[in-house]
Amino acid sequence: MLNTDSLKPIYVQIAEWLEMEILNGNIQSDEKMYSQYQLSDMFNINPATAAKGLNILADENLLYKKRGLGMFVSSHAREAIRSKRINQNIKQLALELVAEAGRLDVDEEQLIEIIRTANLQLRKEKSQ
Amino acid sequence: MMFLTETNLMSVAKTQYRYKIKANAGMFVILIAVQLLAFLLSLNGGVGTSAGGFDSITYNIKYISGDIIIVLTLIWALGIGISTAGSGFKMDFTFISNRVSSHLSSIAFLLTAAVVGGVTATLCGILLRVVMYYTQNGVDTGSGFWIAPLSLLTGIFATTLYAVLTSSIGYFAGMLVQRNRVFIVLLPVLFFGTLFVEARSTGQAQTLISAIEFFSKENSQAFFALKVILVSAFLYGCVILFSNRMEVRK
Amino acid sequence: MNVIVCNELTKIFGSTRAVNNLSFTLAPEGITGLIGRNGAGKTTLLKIIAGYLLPSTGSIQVFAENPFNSVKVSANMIFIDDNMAMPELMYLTEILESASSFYANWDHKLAMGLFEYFNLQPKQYHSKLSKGMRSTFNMIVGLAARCPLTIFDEPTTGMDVAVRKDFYRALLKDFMQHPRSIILSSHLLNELNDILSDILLIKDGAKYLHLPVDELSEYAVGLQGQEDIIAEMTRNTEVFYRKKLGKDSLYVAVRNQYTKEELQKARLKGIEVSSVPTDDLCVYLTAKHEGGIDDVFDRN
Repeated sequence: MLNTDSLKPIYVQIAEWLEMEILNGNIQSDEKMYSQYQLSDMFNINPATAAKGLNILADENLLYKKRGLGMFVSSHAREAIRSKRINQNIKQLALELVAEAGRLDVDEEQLIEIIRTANLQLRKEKSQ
Repeated sequence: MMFLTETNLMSVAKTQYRYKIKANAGMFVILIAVQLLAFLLSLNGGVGTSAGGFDSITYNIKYISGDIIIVLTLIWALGIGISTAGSGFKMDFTFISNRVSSHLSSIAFLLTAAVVGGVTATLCGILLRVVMYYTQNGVDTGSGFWIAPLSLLTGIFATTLYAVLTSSIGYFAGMLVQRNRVFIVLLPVLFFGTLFVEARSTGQAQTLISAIEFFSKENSQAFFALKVILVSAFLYGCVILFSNRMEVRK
Repeated sequence: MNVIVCNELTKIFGSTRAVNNLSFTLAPEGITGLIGRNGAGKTTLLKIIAGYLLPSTGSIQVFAENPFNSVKVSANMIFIDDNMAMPELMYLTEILESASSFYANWDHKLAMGLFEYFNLQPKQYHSKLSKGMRSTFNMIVGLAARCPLTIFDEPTTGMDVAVRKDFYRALLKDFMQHPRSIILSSHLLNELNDILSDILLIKDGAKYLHLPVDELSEYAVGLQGQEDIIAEMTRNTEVFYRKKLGKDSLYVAVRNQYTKEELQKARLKGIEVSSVPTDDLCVYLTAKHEGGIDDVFDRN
């Protein structure tokens, strides 16, 4: 569900949740996106807030409108979201990671080693 | 946007009137209880011997038979006027209302109550005659056992009008209290104070007596009705005027 | 057309200004949270809107009419609080039936559905209900009446958490099916934050803020870290709340006028950037002291 303590406003969280639905393949290209009212009902939020979340995706052309039918997922949406997230999230997290490492006197070698270990651990868990 | 409902004062007042009848059904149960009590008192006390605390009040009662029933019914009408003024405004503004519609529905309700009070009090008086006739031999039931239909109607007419009058007085007093709590003390003080002072100085509560005589000594039924209607209308008119800027649900 | 237009409204009781020079407008369709501390003037404002009270000065228009003595406003408005006068001798179901005779849009199926869901007893008297149950019953009346302007003044008094959550959800669902103007006054902002479309925050009878709810969540930002860095960052910003932590560490809630880059830089300098929960923010905004209750103790 939504995280009310997050720095992100609810509509941004809605937008990110919708992006995840597209990324996961739960909603394919040219499939109909959830309506404002479905989202409002699902997350117990004001429909105006839900509409704002949808509009973020529409503004980035990840969704397109069909008159009278609602919003649909653009064909390039999945790829666009992926590259956007690499550029924003991964790089952002890396920056914070490096900053925290700096404060704790962890050098680059050690940091890369930590990332490798984490990666291995996740792979192992996935294969189980 | 939701469409706005169009309505008017009269249809709101009508709905409120129906609501008041339902909400105050208990008042009519009290009426029955009051009349039953009066009935039993009359059976015990016999005819025309009721003696109240104040000399001035017994004055009026001596002449009418079935008197206690009527007097208690009128006191009930006074009470229902007061209570309608007290609870009515408050309850009306729970749902759709404005000040005038609240008063209109209250007036209609009180008129209904007066008719019910008038009819039942008169019928109760007749029942009393019947019972007295069979239980207490030799009791003079007044002008005879059977009452002509016309005088039955006259009885209902007069009692109802008196009930209209007392309920409007009750409503007026009740609204004064709603307007300002001071009247809760002021009204009884004024009423009993005048009674007391006059009784002390002249031996008679002259103001009250002449107020009652203003109505009871009227020989013409039409004029009697007119007096009652005008006085009640005046009281209701005053209420509507002085309460029209009153704040509610405070 | 705006549902409510309120212009320099003032209401004086004796020597206190319960509502003080308040101006705002309310557009149709939305759930507005009227938020303020106890005694901030919420109830007085709502009762002026409902036409129960007369303003001392200023003007108020509801559906383009003066609400005082307006049958039109009354017919299209319902005011729910925990002081609703109901007949002593009517069963709850009878009250619902009477209410239905008043309101043109009344949905009796909804009323009875909610009535059963919340386990209210048909042959019960209103005056015999517990506080929470009475609030629940009144809330049902407020929802089923489907008035274009629906006012709930502290509707959840006495309700337990589960009922409150159900109420907010019922309100939202019914709002989606029948969009209208709903005003909710409350001090429990965190619970109803999500279902609101906008927030009207009042302080000492005057408007402090009127914002779409998601702008409020971006209105302020919490910064925590070294005192000198924060002092540098907040030199030209409004500080709503300040709390010293440890030796030279500080938490502040400030007006968020920073760019993404600026916040990013701060993070790299070791400043923790966090959101300020809207309910905390409202407390800070309406507080009289920057440090809250701590100010009282720190003085000694």
